[in-house]
Amino acid sequence: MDDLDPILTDTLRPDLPPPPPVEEIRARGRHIRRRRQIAYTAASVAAIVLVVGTGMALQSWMVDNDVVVDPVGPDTPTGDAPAGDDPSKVDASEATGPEPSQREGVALPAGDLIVHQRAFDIYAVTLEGEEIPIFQAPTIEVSPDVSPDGQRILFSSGDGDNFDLFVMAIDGTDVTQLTDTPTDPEFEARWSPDGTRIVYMRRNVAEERSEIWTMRADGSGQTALYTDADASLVPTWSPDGSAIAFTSYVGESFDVWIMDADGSDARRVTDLPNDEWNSVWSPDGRFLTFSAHPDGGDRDLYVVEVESGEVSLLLDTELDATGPMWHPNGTRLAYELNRQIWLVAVSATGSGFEVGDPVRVTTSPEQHGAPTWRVGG
Amino acid sequence: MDANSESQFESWYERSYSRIAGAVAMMFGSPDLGEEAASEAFARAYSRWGQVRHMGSPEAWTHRVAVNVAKRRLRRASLERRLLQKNRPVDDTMPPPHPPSEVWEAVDGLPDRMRQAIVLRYVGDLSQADIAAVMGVAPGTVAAHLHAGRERLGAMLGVPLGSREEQSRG
Repeated sequence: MDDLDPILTDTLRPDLPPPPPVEEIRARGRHIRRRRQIAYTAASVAAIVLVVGTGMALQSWMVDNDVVVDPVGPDTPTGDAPAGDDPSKVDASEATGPEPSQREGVALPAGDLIVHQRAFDIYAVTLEGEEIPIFQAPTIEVSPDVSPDGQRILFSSGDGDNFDLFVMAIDGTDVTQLTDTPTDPEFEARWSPDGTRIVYMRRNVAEERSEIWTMRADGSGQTALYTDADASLVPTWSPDGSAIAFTSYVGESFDVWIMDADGSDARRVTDLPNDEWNSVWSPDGRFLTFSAHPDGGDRDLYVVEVESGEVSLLLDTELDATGPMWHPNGTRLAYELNRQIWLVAVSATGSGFEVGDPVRVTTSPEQHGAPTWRVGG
Repeated sequence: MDANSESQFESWYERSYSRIAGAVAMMFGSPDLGEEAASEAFARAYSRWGQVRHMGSPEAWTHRVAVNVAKRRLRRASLERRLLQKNRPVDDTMPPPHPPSEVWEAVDGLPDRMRQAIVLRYVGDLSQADIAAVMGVAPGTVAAHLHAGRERLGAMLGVPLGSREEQSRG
């Protein structure tokens, strides 16, 4: 004990509020207990009802009524609590993953689809605008990425506090958890071109730093690739798998960076005024497309030629455009604009690109984002 | 729940509520949020008291639930915006209230995690292990935050730091 302790104790302790009558807390606790019982009944019913296509109403009811079935169990504090101190681990009947994890798969039409997040669920939309739910749960699902063979979807799922990475079949079945880091959320996972590895962003909460990590496709071998900046986000593999582009905060803004696939030789590619985000490789590996607002206005889509570093405007949208994703054949670009998914035809001219008229693909009023292509099917 | 368990819960609740509500209020800068989060956390503890009471530290668990309830309330409104910004790190905690005090100003000037650790220690009266459980970090990280925070506060307030008994406590 030294002179500082009494000063802190006496000064910092506010006029602590008196506890409400314990009967109020007991009544509230009894209500929570009943609600929890209802939630598990409802979740079971929802898995059935979703299959016949009317689950949205029930899901909305669950959300509206604050009925949460989250990956670590309702009422469970997220974090590194000792297992013995975690009630969700005492009661083995509680939820252990984004529900529903096992149900009948969604029948997806043949042809190109844009898989994306819609209101924190995973959806696909046909190029004709038909929106098809692939995975709906009371948890929050973001950052989908379709595997190169079109058979699986990586995504991040969580309760708002913590997120882990999961993989499922393209039809929404066979959900498998890949990461289990109670304190550190993971987002923005991307498949390697050969589908054997995954690169992703992991938020190191203890160090208050966002890092780039990699692992095998089955979740094993999780390894930090790049931890040298305060924040490194949104990694993507080059088409030949030899390099990874990412967004990194060094200095006073976010810029596009590249490193070798083993994490070595990180170098800055763009250094525009303000922030650059969401870089993705063109299918030929020559360019990176990204979202930026060098004039301080709305975010438009730009390209940078990787070898020369020459930057040019690709698409002036007059609103914030982000999340660009090339069709693998390099003729179209999907992106997010004003909560909707848009599509634009792009053709290479040798020295640059010509773009067609953008077309809005999604129409429902919810927030749509993070487009990723499922080709053919 | 039998009478003995009810009595045990009531006595623990009366002892612990104010510290948790006060610490959460200080962490998020809102007395209302502190009381609401603490009430919700104690109600959740009551709803599963048969399990919570056997924990090593029911108070740390409840503290952590309260912090998460408060975070969730704050994040609910800002979550969509945060995700649209592609998870750009956002400090969505609020600064503590500012009674006209040199000590408060010094604490307010600490980095977020250091400030949280100091508040949980000196307002919540939690041990380092319990603070680690609440913050979701390793106890060693808490020790580092407390050490650095106290060093900074001592320098800012001109208070000499004596023995390091505090550093080994908890």
